[in-house]
Amino acid sequence: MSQGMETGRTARAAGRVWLLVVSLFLLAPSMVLLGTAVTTTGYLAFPPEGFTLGWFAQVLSDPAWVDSIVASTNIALIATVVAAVLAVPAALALTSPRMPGRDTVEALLTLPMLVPQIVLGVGLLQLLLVLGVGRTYPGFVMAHTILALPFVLRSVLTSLRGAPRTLELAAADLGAGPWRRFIHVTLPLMRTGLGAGCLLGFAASYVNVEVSMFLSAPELNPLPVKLLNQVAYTVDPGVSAVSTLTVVLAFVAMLIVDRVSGLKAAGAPS
Amino acid sequence: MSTTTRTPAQPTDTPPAGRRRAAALGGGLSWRQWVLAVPAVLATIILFVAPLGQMVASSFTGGASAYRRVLTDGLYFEVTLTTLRISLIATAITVVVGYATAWCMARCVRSASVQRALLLLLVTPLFISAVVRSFAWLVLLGKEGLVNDIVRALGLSQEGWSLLYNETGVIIGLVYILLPYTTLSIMAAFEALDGRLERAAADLGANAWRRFTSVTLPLTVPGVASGALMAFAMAVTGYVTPAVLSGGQVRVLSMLIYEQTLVTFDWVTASVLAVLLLALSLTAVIFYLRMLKRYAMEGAR
Amino acid sequence: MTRKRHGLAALAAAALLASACGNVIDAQNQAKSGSDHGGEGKLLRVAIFGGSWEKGIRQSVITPFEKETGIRVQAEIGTSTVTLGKLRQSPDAVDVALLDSGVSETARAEKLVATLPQDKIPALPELADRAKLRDREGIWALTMGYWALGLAYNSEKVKTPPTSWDDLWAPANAGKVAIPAPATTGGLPLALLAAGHAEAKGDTDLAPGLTKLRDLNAVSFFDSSGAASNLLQSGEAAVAAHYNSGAWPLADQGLPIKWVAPKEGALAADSRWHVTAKARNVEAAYKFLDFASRKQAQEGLVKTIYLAPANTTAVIPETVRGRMPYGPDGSLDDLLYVDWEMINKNKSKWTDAWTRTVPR
Repeated sequence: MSQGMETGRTARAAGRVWLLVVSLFLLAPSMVLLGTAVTTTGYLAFPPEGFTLGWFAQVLSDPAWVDSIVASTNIALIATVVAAVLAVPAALALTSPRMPGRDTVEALLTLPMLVPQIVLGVGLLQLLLVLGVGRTYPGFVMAHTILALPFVLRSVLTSLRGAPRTLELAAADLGAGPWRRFIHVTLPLMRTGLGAGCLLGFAASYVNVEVSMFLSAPELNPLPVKLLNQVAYTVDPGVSAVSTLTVVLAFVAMLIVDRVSGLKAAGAPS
Repeated sequence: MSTTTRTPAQPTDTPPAGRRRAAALGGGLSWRQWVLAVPAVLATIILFVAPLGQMVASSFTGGASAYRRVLTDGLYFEVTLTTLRISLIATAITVVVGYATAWCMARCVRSASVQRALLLLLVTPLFISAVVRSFAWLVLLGKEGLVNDIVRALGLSQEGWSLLYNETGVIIGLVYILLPYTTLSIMAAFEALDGRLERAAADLGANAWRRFTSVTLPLTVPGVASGALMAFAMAVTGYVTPAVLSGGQVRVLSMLIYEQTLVTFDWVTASVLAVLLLALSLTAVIFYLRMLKRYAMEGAR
Repeated sequence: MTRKRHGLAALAAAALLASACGNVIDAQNQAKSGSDHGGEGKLLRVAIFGGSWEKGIRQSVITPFEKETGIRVQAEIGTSTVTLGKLRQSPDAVDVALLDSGVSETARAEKLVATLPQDKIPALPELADRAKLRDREGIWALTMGYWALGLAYNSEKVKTPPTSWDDLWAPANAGKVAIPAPATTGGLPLALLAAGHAEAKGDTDLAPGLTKLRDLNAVSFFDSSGAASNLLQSGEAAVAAHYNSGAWPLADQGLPIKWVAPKEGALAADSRWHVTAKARNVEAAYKFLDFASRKQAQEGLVKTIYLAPANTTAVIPETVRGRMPYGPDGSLDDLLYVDWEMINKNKSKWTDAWTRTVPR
């Protein structure tokens, strides 16, 4: 693709400078985390003093931290998958022009992301206790599904709305059945949106404290809650090490997902 | 008229008669579309409307008196304004920065690996717990922090800038976490963008700015709107970022709600504030849907 | 026809996936709860705090308790307020709860914690009188240890160490002071102190205290130990009203931070053990409270998190004497004790007043 076609050379240079600035902004906090995770001091020193991987070793050898990371990842993964399974058909319905009450449904499905989460947390704990799944794995997944759902839905909706629906018409004219249309036309059209949505939905669950802190239980203590309870009393480089680790883990996962789903910027040579 | 070779759907058998375009897009009377939406709607009703209903009910404990009290209270009015101001400023900055970033990533970077690296950087904030993320900003933005060291070294200010324990600090922290939301959303819109439309505009002699304003921008509006909505939602509902970076000097609704829920156990006021915040947000959503509709109608013309 | 199949298929797929996930989780859960049931009567669920507190409590109380009794302790980590929040929604969430003073009184007022049978806790006579919290029905909480709000300072930036609460308002520290947020244990007691009513009982006017705190023009109102340490470490705050239990660990980490008990007295707070009203394993809970009150456990907590012991027979080693909430030479009698019942009664009103008055 020759999409870079008319973007002038000056514009492109300016664009790259801009990207550099944004990158520095995005990079800065991670640098603090990395820096304070390798310091040999017992406190958070930035820039770090000396260099050690001891804090990483300490964190990785502590089953409580490892369990927390695993719990957070599991909950976020399952909640995202469930949210996606709910969101994709809903998005298809919502982009069909003749669905009755479309706006109402869309508003309803968007609202959960607009409520202060602490209030949602109290409400959800009550509800899940009534349902008999308070402070359990399924309870967590249910609560986090509602956290992730709006983000997945919105992203999928965006990509479907931006896409030319004529493709589906064409496919229908050519006699493709609904499943074939979905697999071969609609799904590829929403791929980027679905990828982005799952990422955002995953994140909404993965870093959530406000809801999770009510649901957490001794054997089920997601990382953000553990970090919150740690920082309330003690801050040491171990906290930075844990956070650096999760970013690295996320990067690895992203690279894998990237291979599979092709989530990438528009215009990238594919 | 618009066809593409990107995703060929090749029929292998002859189409049976009667397949209508309307069927493909669910045209006509289509309560049947509801079937697709039912699981999501059900989940939302059980996991959101039910707890919410309980909250709304408790906000009416003692009739509307709690509402009267909150609505006539200057403090809550002021805090609501602060909340909206901070959230809107952070959202606006994020949309502009996110748009520019998405555009640059699509147009100024050729190498796939650079793109991938940028994308990874962009999503970093998503994986760092709010508490830790905010602490990193505390380290960076303090009077003796790295940012002010640079400010002083460049001679921009002798004293250094006040970047912490005020609205500026909260906005910086928010922009950092909101940026992935808008940028990814806008990137998805760029992805869906049909490059040939721009090229056609170029062929018709439109200059770069006109091409941007008349083709690229309108076509990416859904992405912008969706990203802005998500960013605004995150800004309005988040607790940790404003709490840590404001040091209690700036008050936003989520902080008051948090305090009332966990510390003073004033569940009624907390519910009232949450309902009011939700009402404000709902207005934003309706506004958004209206805009989208108008945009879609214009697009159809 | 086609459309219907379209929808139904999606629905079926959704249901399938959801149930698949559900099954995996259920299996996991059953495995978990199964192992718990196997040890019925041998499992005690205890809510404690995180960070260095968790470490200290595990080391000095939980681990030796498990070894001695064979009872398995399942620790639930959280702040007092969140633990209380959980108890309100499900009163049997834990068997034993560690709660800070103010929250503790709320829990008792809401009947979430039980009265303790004195004969089940043999260590009781060794505890200081004020460590046995009682009301008309009897003893309902046992203090694990005392800590206090005093003055922490950055010894590299402050030339003359503070000695009095008044030093917070000293011109030399202007604009470089941090104090706890009203939502934390220390916030409202500090306002009471500023109002000159630290130990007042009954109705008190907090307004003058809040005005004084506003005049302080504090850099920040911190709500976690982490935030406080950043303020002191970065030099953003030279002096902070901070807890001995929060400040001394920073010194241990190598930071130039010291803590003093002001000459007027540091503001006492304590963390207390409770048996919840709906506890499932009551006998083990009593045993746990007894164990935690004994000399050995108490001395462990003195050394690890610098709590002044509630057990009068506990010996404070020379090395940590300086880190006690009353300073190196004091005793529990030198601390100022606020009336938590009164604070709780006014908490909503006062926190609200703080929000209106104190921030810049």
